[in-house]
Amino acid sequence: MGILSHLINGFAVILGFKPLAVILIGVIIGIFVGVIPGLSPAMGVALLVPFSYGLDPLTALILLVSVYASANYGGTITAIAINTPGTPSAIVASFDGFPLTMRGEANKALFVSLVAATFGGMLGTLVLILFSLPLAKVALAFGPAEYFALAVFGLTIISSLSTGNWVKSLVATFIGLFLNTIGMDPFTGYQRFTFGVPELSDGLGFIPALIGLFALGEIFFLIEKGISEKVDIGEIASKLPGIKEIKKLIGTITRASIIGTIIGVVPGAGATIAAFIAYSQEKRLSKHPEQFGKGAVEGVAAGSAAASGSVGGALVPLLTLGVPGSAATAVLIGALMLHGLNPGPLLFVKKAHIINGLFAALVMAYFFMFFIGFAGNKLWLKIIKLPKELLYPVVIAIAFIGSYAVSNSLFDVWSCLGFGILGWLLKRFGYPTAPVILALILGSMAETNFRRALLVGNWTIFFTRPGSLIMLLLALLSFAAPIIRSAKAKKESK
Amino acid sequence: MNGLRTALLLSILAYSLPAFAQPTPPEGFPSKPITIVVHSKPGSGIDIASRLVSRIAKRKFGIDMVIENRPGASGLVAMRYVLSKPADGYTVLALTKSFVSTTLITHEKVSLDSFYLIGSMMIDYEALITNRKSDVRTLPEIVEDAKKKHGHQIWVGPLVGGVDHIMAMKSWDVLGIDAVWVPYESGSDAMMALLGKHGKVYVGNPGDISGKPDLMVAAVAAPHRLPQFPDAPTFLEYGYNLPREIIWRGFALKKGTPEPITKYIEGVFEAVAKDSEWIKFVENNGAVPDFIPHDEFVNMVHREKEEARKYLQKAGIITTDKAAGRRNLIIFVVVAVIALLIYLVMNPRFPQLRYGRTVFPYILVVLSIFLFLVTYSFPRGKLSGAVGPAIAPRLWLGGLFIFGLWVLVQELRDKTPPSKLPGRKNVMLMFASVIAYIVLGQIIGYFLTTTLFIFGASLLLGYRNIWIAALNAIGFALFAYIVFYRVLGVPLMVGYLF
Repeated sequence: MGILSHLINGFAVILGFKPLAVILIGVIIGIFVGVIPGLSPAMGVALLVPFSYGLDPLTALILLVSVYASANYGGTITAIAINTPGTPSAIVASFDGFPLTMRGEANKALFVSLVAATFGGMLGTLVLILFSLPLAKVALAFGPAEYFALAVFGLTIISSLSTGNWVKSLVATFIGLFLNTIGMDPFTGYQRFTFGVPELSDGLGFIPALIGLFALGEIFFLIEKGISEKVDIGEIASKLPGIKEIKKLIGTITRASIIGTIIGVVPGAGATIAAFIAYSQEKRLSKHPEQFGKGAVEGVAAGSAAASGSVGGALVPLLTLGVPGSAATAVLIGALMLHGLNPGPLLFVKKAHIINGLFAALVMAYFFMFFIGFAGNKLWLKIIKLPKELLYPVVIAIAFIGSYAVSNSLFDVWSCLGFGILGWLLKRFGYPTAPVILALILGSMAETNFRRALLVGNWTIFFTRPGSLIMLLLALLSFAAPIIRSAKAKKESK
Repeated sequence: MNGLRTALLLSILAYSLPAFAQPTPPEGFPSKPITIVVHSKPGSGIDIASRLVSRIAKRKFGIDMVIENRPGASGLVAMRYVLSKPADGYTVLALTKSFVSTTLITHEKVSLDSFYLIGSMMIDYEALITNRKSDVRTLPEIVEDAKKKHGHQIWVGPLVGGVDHIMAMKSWDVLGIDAVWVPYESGSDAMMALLGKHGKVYVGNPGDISGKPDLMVAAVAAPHRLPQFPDAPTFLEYGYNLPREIIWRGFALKKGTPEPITKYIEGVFEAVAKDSEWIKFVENNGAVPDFIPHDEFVNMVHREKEEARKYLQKAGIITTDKAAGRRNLIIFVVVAVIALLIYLVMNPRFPQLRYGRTVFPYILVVLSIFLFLVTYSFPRGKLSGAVGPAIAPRLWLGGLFIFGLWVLVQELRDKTPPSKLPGRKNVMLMFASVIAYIVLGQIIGYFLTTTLFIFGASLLLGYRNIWIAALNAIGFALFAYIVFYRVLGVPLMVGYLF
């Protein structure tokens, strides 16, 4: 059991007052970074890099990793409480988390998210420790054709996100896919649909889009519906789910964590796609799929567990290949280099104590995250209980400052408002908003890899490479199944 | 006489020991922190380097320098931002060689001539990197394989038109070969592709291979082998004349900054570049801590610009289609007029057309037609091969058109009038106040407008208790001030009033 001894050695490194205090601080900052919309895990890590410079390499790494580990959970808090995903991956937790809050079951949703995130994170770490070498091979096998197939597979999730009218889901998807093509074409340098606006040349910012569509769109919609109808959240909000309920979620959380970890390994896919895939997977397996999107705890659990699990996955390419698996790990690499450490396989040999310490610190960070999260939930509940008339204007202000903070650009604030209006229009006319976001994430992944694959080879490449073929077949299956099922159900009801 | 001699001696000493050369600050400068504007997000290479500069400047000279990230449009946003500030030496632009391509690709909406180049702080030699486990590893093997493949050898690297792409084209010239440039979102994505054998050659810097035993430097474009990478052969050793291809990172001021201030800042940056902490940092990154002073820097950038222009034109990246803007406007007007006419003609026959739920898909369909037509002014692009930049947008817009039309028909068939929502007026008022909030925020200042907005919006939504509403608004403004403005250093707009 060489691996276990690594972990024990790791704990020997971090079980001291200073490392533990650093992990604690890191976790608190991480949750906070996650809670604030506009501060992604990557930015949270980046903002701490200058501070970490004065620390020794191991302590610095522990601090940054703790921030990264807990930020995804932090994001789900605002997603559940006020339908404002604090991090992109938290969007999935809002699908069911916010309806639960509206029903007065915020505490339950927050707790489930916390448990799932903790479990997912720990499982992800375990997978990282045990299987990082074979998983690295998965990451390497991903060429343009495989990425394209993954993107197509991801896009088919919209069929399971749709509620009711699937034509409207497709319209929402194509809106997102089109919006994704705005900006500089990476293959020719041509400015597509920018109409001379320089701020558009990098495309529409993803975080303003996310906050606008979800937080602002929802608020405008709720204001229009009239906020006079009061749900008294105070009474039931403090109820925690029982052990039985949590036990029922074990299957969901385990599956979602594993999906999250594996997707996390593939560079560029990341936490958000992982959360979406895990969510649609659980919906498909569920005995009551119709409750998804209306307040199913499994939905919250799947999203949080997968996002958290992806952290361990994203560290696989960093540690085994020296290549970042996500935006946050890209910043981590920069921080490691600053300390004279070259991430990559040699790190295991030359600086084993750092790697072992990192593993142990991750486990510890999730442990702390659970308790801090548990204590923090009481505070969040107080915020949720604020009267809507006070809360909504504050959420709007947060949406704007969050959008602005991403690149200190006023353009992003206008773009956030634009997406807010789009989200409001979509909602009031009965289109789902989630497909827009999914398309924004996957659109360029599909397009660039499609074109890249054709630069490398010819059309047959998508079907001759086994990985690509399998994923494309899965995509077909995943797209057709819900439509066929609903058609069957219609026939039967007639 | 004695005094003069001492002075002379001292000046000789100062000259021979650069560590003693302290730049003298002009009267009253700096009286506030100097801002270094960085064109990428926190955590990027140049961001970390700039933060280190700030640290060393503080230690050596007690100067406060803050980093402000203004990402966007490959540096164009940052350049414009610096040019929008007064030329008083309080705003410094961090720049890299990629800015040369940026100014060319954007048709010189902003020119590097508007800046005073202070100096380059670190350089990185360009290198061809291969996978040790591949069958193509050394430079001769690359050339041989490329000739066998007749231009189909795959080279990977970051975006088209960037520094590494130009380096690739230049080395194809020198090596007498032709290959395909497959661009990736970032250098590390491309390196991943090389590791996974999805390409044969990666263009980057020797530092990229550190920590990655599977990668090797096939050739580095340096005059001699680099001390940190003794195993990396140079192009010259193989008889190819590519002695010095570099990427630099430097700093610049807006032109017109008073000379004493310029000279002082130049001195500060030069002293930082020679500080041991800086040198250690640069070497840790596998780069070379050479300082290139102003004059030499300007000449170098000038040469690079002409060279970049040549290769970007060759690759078909700099295109000149100035008529596209006007053409698009005409298309827009024509499509909009036709759409309006159809709407007006159909309106009496279909009362449902007056409902928002029907107008929405109608607008989507019209927009998709307009945008589809816009794609016809997209270039074919020599680099894109069979699939140009217009294909994906056409596919998506086609989908939007078809399914938008489908929804339109659905909505037209549904004759039930929409139910009136009680908050109609409120939502419109909210839109107005939100727009007022963003616009006024720039004039009056973020904190005051935010307080007013939250307070006003709470009352608008029907909250009765004025005091609690005010407390709530002030509380958030305070939170924004402490967390975003102070702790996170987000440059919020401080207008005429607070």
